[in-house]
Amino acid sequence: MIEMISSVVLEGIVIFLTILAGKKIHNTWKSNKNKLNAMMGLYILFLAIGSITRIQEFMNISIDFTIGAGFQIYHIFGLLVIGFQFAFVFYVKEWKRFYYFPVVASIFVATGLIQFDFQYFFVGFALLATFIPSALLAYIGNKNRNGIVFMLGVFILVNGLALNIRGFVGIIIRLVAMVMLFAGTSGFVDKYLLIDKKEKLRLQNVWISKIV
Amino acid sequence: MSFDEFRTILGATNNYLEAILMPIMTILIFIKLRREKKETGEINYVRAIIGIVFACFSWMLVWEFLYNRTPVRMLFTENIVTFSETSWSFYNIGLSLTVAFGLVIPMYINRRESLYYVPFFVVGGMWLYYIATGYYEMMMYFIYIGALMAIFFLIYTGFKYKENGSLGLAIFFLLAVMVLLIDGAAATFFNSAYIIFGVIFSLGIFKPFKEVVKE
Repeated sequence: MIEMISSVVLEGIVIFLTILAGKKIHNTWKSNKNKLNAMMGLYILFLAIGSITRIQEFMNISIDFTIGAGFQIYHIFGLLVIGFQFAFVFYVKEWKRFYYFPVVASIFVATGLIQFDFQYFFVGFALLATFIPSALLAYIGNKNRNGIVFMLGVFILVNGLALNIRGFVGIIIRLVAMVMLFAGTSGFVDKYLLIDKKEKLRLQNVWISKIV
Repeated sequence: MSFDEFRTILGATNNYLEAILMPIMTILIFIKLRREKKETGEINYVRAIIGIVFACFSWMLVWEFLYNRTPVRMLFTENIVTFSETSWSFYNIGLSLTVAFGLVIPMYINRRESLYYVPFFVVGGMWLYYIATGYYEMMMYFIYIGALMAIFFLIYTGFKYKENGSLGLAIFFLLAVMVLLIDGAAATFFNSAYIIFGVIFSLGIFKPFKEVVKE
C-alpha cells in the first residue's frame, strides 16, 4: 500500500514537472512561433498522458484495451513519443527527406503488433529513437549553445533508459530527467552551463566602448 | 498457322526480346545521361531515375528469362526467381524497386522533397516485415496500388509540366502493368507493345511535348 502511494505521489511530481516544462515551452512558442517549440509542447503532452496511464497501472485501475493480437494503449503513446523524438532531429537538422520516416516506421510497428503481437519492431524502434536522437540533439545543442536542444537530447536518453527500469528507481530517474528538461526549457542551462563565450565577449566590448 | 501457334511464337519472341532489349535500353538511357552531363555539367535526375527504373525492370526480366530458357531452372525453385504472390523472389525485388522509383519521379518533378524517400521506407519496411514475420501479402498491395498511383501521378505530372520522360514512363508502366493484370492473348500483345514502346522511349523518339516548361 505504502509503495503504491509513494509511486503515485512520485509519478504525480513527474506530471507536475512535465506541466511546468510544458508551460515554459508554450510561453516560448507564443512569443516566437517556432515549430520546434510546438512539437516539444505536443511531445510533453504525450509524456504527461503516458504518466497518467502509469498512475492508473499503479492503482490497479484497468482502462487498457488491446487491438488485434497485441496493440495496447501504451503502444499508442509510446509510438507517438518515439516518433516525435525522431522528428526533433530531422527538424533541427532540416533533413526534410526523412520527415515521414517516423510515420512509415510507426505504421509497420503498429501493423506488426496488431497482426502478430510482434514486439521486436517496437523495442528496436524505441532503442533507435533513444540513442540516435539523444546523441545528435546533445551534439547540436552543445555546438549551437542551445540549452533547450541540448537538454532535450539528455532528457531523451535518461527518460528512455528510466522507462525500462521498474519500481522506485525508474520513477526517480525519470524525475531527474524531468528536472533536466525543465532546466533546459526554463533557460537555466543557457544562462549557467552553455555560456556563449563569443557572445559574452561581444556584449562586454559593446559596453566598454559605450563607457569609453 | 493457327492463332494459338502465333501467340506461342510471339510469347517466346517477347521473352527473348525483352531479356536482350531491356538491358540495351537501360544502357542507352545511361549513355544519354552521361552525354547530357558532359554538355551541361549537370545531372538530369529525372533521366537518372528513369534509367534506374529500366535497370530494375531489366533485372526482373533477365531473371525470368534465365529461369524459363536456361539451365538456371536446375539451381533455383520457381518462387525464388520468377513472379510470386506468396513469397519474395528476385523478380519481386526488382518489381518493388521499379514501383518505388516510379513513385519518386512525380515527387521529384513536383519538388515534394519530404516525400522523396517515402516509397523506399515503405519497401524497406515490407522487406523487414517479411523477414521478421513471414507475411508477404502486403507487398502485393503495394505493387498494385503503388503502380496505379505511379501511373496516375506520372500522367498528371507529364501533362502539368509538359515532361516527356514522365509521360513516357507512365505509358510504359501502364502497358507493363496490363501484362500482370490481364491473362491470355491480350497479355501477350501488351507484352509486345511495352517492348516496342520501351525502344521508342529509350531512343528519345517519344517527344509529344516539344517545349519543356521549367519552374
